[in-house]
Amino acid sequence: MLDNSSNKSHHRVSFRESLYTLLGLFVLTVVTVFVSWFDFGVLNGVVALFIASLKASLVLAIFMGLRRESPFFLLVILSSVFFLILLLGFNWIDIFSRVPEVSTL
Amino acid sequence: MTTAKASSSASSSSPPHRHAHHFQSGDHEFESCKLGVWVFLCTEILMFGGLFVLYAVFHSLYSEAFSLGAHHLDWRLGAINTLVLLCSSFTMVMGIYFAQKNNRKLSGMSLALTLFFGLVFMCIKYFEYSHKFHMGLFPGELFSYQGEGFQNPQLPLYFSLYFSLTGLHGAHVLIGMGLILWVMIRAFKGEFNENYYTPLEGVGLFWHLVDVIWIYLFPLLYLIG
Repeated sequence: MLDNSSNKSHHRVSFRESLYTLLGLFVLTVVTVFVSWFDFGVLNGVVALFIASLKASLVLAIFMGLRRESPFFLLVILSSVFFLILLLGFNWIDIFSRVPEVSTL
Repeated sequence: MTTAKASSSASSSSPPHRHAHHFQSGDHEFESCKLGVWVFLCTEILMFGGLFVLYAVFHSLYSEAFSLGAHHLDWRLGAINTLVLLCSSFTMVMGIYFAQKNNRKLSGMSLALTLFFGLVFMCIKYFEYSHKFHMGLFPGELFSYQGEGFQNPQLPLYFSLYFSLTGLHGAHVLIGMGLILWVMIRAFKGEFNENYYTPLEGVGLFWHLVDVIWIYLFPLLYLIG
């Protein structure tokens, strides 16, 4: 089964796009460090995670080619993130609704 | 970087790819392989995610121990490692770029560079770990630290988490390096071209995920607290 088209019809990697993405990731890394020197109190973790997610999105979209793929691939990855959020969410609710009790026995 | 000249090893018409018989076309084969790798990446996200959830919960419960522990981490080494992995992701993409251009030499060299960055990452990791071991900061029961703050009962917990997270990630870097070495040899042999580079794509996806995991590890371990 000879197929001249196979991968060829596929999305060509763009050098310029990849380089700009790398530079953008460098900038965001500097931002990550810079922002860590400020104290946002409770929001510290949220800010750090948000910037990290921006970087991760860049890698996923450009380097890993999610942007060029069929939307189904994005659905697959988002569903795993969804279950992760469920895991974190329910753990959170459990632990932070605990009331320390001393046994009456 | 100017457009690479086609080297003598680049062929103007690449051999067509014979896809496996159970696929309708080469396209079908490529898409299926990619989907397989993506589903595997989902399992990786869930695995590391579980550890991240552990970290998040204990960080909230024992913030003092986590703050104490984080002081033993050098954010500059973490930042350098972040940049190193980001560069390695770029060179990995270049490996595919040159394969699509039928340039086996530059493709192989890009992959060699990716391997090199992985090695740099592991070297820095080695320095970090050996420094900690020197101070008695070991995971779990081996914890023998006697320095400042050692009485904090949750400090060993912090380091168990630290070593689990970075150790598992480091193992993935090593596995990734092995895979890159494999496809690099194949690339130099000229097995990849514009019609077929599926293994490069698959290994690349895994390597990028290793990078993404570190993108989250760096701020959560080195910068918070």
